[in-house]
Amino acid sequence: MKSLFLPLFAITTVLAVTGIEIFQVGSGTNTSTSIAEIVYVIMLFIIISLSVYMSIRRSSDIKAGLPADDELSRNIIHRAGSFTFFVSLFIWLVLLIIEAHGNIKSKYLFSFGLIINSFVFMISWAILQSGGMVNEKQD
Amino acid sequence: MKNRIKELRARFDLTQKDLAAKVKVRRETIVFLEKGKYNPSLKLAYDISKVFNMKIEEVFLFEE
Repeated sequence: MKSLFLPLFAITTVLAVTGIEIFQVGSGTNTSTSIAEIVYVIMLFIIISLSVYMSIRRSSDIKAGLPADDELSRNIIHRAGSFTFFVSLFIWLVLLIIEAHGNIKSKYLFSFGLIINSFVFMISWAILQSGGMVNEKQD
Repeated sequence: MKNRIKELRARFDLTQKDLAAKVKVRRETIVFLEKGKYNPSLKLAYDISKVFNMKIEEVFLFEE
């Protein structure tokens, strides 16, 4: 059961904290909703939806007497994680450039970095999960 | 790499869920194996072959 609740708990806690922080800062300075906040909420919604979907699937597998994790699901998580790490190098670079040339605060920078990385991970996980993973050339 | 899992599963009257439970993997893994979208580890290939009482090369067809 640890494998079922721990990822969901970690993801939702981190996202909830960063979400609350952004809206608290935003509500103090500006009452109108910015495009960045809308994008943030959409990404937050997608991440939480996929996390819930992942947990429900795992839960149904456990109820059916099947394992929650196996070699394919572990390979998918590893590949999605390594892809996210590669992409995150560019994401942080872009965010640092934006911070240097714009008026974005560090708080926003880290929140957006975190949410974008989580988003990339969840999307790459979903793509691999739906399309399968061939680990050798088929030609 | 092709395989005969679907054909053998039908012959042994096993559902994807039954086979998944026997080799201790998720049902999706069997689905991807049958579609040729995942190449199993040697351990999983051995376990699947064992369920059908066959050799690995009789279940998984290696093409050169």
